[in-house]
Amino acid sequence: MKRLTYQNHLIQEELNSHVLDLVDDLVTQGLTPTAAQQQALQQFGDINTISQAVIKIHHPRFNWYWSPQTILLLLFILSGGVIFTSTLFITTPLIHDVLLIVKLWWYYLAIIIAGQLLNYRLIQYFSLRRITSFITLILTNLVASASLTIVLDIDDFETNLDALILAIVLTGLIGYFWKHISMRWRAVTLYIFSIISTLSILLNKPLWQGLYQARCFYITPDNIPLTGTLTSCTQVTWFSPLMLLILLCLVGGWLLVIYKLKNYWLNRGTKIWQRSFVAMFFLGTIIIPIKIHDINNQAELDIIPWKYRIDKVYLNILGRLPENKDVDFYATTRSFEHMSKVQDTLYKSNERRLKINQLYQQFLQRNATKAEIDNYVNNKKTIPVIINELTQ
Amino acid sequence: MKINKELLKGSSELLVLSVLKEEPLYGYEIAKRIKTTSEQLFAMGEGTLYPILHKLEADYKLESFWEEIGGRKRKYYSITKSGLAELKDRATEWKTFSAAINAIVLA
Repeated sequence: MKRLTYQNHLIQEELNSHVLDLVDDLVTQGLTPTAAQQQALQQFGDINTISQAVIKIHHPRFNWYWSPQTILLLLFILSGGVIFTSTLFITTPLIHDVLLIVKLWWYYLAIIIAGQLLNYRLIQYFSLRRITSFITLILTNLVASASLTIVLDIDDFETNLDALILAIVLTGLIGYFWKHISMRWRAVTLYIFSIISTLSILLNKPLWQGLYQARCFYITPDNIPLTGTLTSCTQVTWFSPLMLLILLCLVGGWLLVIYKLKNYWLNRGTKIWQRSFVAMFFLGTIIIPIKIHDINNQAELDIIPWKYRIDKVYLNILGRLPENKDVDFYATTRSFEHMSKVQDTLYKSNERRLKINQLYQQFLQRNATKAEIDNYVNNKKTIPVIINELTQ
Repeated sequence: MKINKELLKGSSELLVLSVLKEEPLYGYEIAKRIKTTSEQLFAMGEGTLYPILHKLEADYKLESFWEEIGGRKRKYYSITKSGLAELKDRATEWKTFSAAINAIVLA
């Protein structure tokens, strides 16, 4: 069976619809349905030839699998493979740090690209002829963004409020000039909105911070107290009435999105799309939340400024630089934010006791006694200080 | 009377843009509208119509949207601002051209 891309499938559907209209017309003129169908097909000509002529207009130089978009997408996926493999083998700390940032950005871009691909298909399905379709798509994006915040465990809805404000402003502006804006620019506006709001959520950076007073709306399920200058913040727990309202809106929103997607799937899908949709849906439900939660918890971007302090703590307490696996561990557990606890753990570690003994062997040519080791552990003396004392 | 296909060829885009000037239409309606408005004189085949529609769409002279009516999905085309400008130019060109032809043929 000839494989159809989504674009080609739509062309076929358009031509088929023409034939069906022709059949209806012929039936109203008095022909039997079978005769009408035969005559319509004869009159229309070869659908495949016509559709090939139309496909050539959309892809004049490349056939679908080598279209520039496909090549870029393949390069993007390939770059992901290279980045992820590199992070496993590169041990140079500086390059490792850079790779962590690149890896995180790769994740961000992957999420944004996936969102835009979904938007592209939804625009083709709903079209942007009516303002209600535009609002539906904006709402779909908002529901997806709010869900992303929860799945990512960002614990901060501020960026969603920003996205909501941006959505209202854009819908108002676009609605006012609706008839003067072409469908292409309506689509462009939607893409821009989606990219800005997704990036804002992924980077956890409010969009309009400079324009109005900092507000906060934190969810703190683990009851981490809010610190810093944001003294007027409202702490919200998962089971507060406000949070329940948000969750209710999200559940309602998702039910609507699923309903729309079901219609889309039934009406627009090729066989391959339908099969891959089901596969992607099940795989996605399992992998994406775990993976995304993982990305957030790794806090790879956040740990970079802390790296110097971690290095210093390791040099002082253990006399060596941390290994990449150590840094990854602190990023995953976010324990770099509680450095004093990290220090306590390292002071009491077996490695520090072994290091102290090693220094005794190196400078005094004997093993350290248990009391001597305990003394250095309890006094929390740094390795340079211990070396200094032993060499005097 | 049958019209020479070569004569129709050069003005197909003009015809399509003209019928879409007033309201959005789908392919079958466009073909039918051209046929009835020209009193059955022009019958644009589907093999000609769809490549023209998609070419105009690719050039941003037309934009499209899908609509489901009575359980059947149809792709509607509507004229863009750039399409209207194109139509204006082509119509002026056509008037000049036909006036010149008339001047010679009917002289």
